[in-house]
Amino acid sequence: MIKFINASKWFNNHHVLKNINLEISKGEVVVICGPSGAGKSTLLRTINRLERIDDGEIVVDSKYLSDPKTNLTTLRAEIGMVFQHFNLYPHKTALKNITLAPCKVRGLTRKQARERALKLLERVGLLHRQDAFPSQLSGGEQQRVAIARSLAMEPKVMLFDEPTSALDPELITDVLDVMISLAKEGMTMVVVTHEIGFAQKVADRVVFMDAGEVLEVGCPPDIFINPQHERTREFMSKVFHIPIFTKPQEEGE
Amino acid sequence: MIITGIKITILLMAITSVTSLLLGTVVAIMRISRIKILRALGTIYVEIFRNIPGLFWVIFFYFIFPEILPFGWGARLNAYPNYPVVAGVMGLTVDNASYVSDILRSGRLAIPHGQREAAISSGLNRVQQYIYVLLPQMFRATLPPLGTRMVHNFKNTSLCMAITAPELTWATQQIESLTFRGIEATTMATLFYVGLAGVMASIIIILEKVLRIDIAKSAYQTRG
Amino acid sequence: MDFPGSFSNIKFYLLGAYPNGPVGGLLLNIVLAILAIAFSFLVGALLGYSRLSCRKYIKVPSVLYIEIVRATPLIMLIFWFYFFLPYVLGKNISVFWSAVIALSIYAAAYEAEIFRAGILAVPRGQMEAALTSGMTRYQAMKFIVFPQALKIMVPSLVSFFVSLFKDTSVTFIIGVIELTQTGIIVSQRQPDKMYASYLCVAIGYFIVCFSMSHLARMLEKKIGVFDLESYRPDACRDEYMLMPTHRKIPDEKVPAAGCYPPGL
Ligand SMILES: Nc1ncnc2c1ncn2[C@@H]1O[C@H](COP(=O)(O)OP(=O)(O)OP(=O)(O)O)[C@@H](O)[C@H]1O
Ligand SMILES: [Mg+2]
Repeated sequence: MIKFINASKWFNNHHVLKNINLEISKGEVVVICGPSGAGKSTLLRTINRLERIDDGEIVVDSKYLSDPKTNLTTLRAEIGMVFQHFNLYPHKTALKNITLAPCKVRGLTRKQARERALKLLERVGLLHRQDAFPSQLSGGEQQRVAIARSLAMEPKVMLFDEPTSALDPELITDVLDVMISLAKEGMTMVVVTHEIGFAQKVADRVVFMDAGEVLEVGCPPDIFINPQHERTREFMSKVFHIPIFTKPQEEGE
Repeated sequence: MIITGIKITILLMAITSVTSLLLGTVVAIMRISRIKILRALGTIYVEIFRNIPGLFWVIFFYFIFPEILPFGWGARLNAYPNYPVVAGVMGLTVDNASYVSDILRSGRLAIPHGQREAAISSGLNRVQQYIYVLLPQMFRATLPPLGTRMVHNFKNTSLCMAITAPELTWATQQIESLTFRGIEATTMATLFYVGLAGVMASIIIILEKVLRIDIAKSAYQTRG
Repeated sequence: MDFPGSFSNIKFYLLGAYPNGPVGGLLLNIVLAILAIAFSFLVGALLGYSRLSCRKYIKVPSVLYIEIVRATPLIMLIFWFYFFLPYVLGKNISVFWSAVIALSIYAAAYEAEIFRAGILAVPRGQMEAALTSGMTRYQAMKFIVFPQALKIMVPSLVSFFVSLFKDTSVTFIIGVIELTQTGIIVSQRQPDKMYASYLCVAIGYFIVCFSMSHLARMLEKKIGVFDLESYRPDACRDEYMLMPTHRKIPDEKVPAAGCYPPGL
């Protein structure tokens, strides 16, 4: 579904993605974690070409991103993205936020789009808030609307960039529940997050990044509990707030 | 004629830049002072001069001002051959000063509280606080809008043609009406204005680079 | 200091010689300002928008236009159109229309800057969210960025209207009978009432400008100020190009700090 081939990116001499090779197949849930500035967001944003890569190649849905013939707009319509800061359109109600793109891009009639939007709002548990403006919604509600907005395009892939890190702790679970149910339905998902619980529950693989490199890829227990790299181990111990194991024996935390 | 015009235009610009900066600073200090009457006076000044066009003030100082002066000073002024230029300077100054004071005042509001407190606790009196701590920061923080304002003021010198001050725009019109070679003269004048405005803008950008670095940093720190 | 003349004089200040002659006085100032704003609105929007383009051949002409017009005194512009438009067109146009054209050309440059700043003040994430949902740049601009930019721009536009209104006084130099000219005419007709006639002019300008600038300040409080004059983004933003290119654009041109979503 998504394939990085030797992808590299620079921001003014700053090498933020170094030779990334990664393949994500259909229906897979991949969690990306790593310290701040590791290039996780950049990696995610290159998938729908909000950032271009300078070297290498990215293939999405068997289309080459660097190919001038690839229609970015139609490709992006197949890729949903959820941002850390929601990015809801402040001048439109929750419902309008969701129906806008289906109407304008997919060419649905208002009625069809509305029906679809109401179903999605119900699914994220916000049917009663359909006429609220983003400024009247709490962070968790905004993020769930944002997820519904992406889903309204019936994407093949969903990208999540730290969807819960701007939320209060008690609001996080609502958002995570939506994401978990999505994962269980077989959506292809790439999620940047530090929610270990989420990763352990639904992730098929975890990618650990540092300084623009993919250091380790593996199933969640391997990465979280039994990391191979010194750097990964150090990071995980900080996330779990426990001293570094030299020889991990016990299970879980 | 063009050369005299350019000279007068530059003269007007130079004098009014300085005078309006001085007057504007005084008004700005009045508007941020603790004394109510001064504040009110400052506000009245700004409201009056900002809400009536600069052109009006230029005309006012040319036609009306000499009439309302007592003791026949007005007649003496009128007899003075360069009075149009003087009236122009006065008109442009009062107009521009109102903008300058507004800009400076907003600069004062941008200075973090801590600065004044630091100045007080190091034992400076009020005048010293302004001279050494507040004013320098006000000027630096507002350099870009002040610069834009000064370019505006430079362009406004052309208003003085309305009162026959022999500046550049007036000169081109004379040439047009005397020799009908208006196109050349107007082209030259336009190029001159655009050129000098460009020079002013670049000087301001350079000044900004030189002066602004430290301000920008500290401003961001205090905003968190 | 008594009032110059009778009721007919007040009417002269407000309307000029209207029922018998052309519109004049204060009303003419307002008409000039409104016409100039209306005519220049689209051009200004286009210029401001193209200034954000990464393509040199779109960006450079608009930068040139904006900077040259902004560096030229309004009087100069007015003369250009008053004296030289007839040469170019081969026929005379009225003083009024040459004033309107000059003011529109002038206003377009300033409006372009307001538009540009307004567009840049919309958080970048909005454009990104729209693009991600499969909208084209044009759609994203039209449905998402532009409506928000417009709202941000309203206070600046009102302030600009005030300053344009004041600038319309300059047209008296080519003989447009607006408020300043009216004052001069009255004071010459009745030299004994000179003070009063100028006072009337001042009051006329004051009332309009004062109320409008208070409106602007109120809107600023409601919508939030953004400082246009010190706002100097030299950002050239890829996503504002009218048509996407596949040409590789060097990264130095991508904006630094301020434009990236606040999360970083
Ligand atoms: N538009 C940009 N211009 C210049 N540098 C950038 C830009 N965007 C990101 N960077 C740099 O690229 C590096 C990687 O950024 P990225 O946002 O991908 O990190 P991240 O892993 O998502 O971090 P975080 O956990 O803080 O979100 C950082 O060092 C950042 O400073
Ligand atoms: Mg990030």
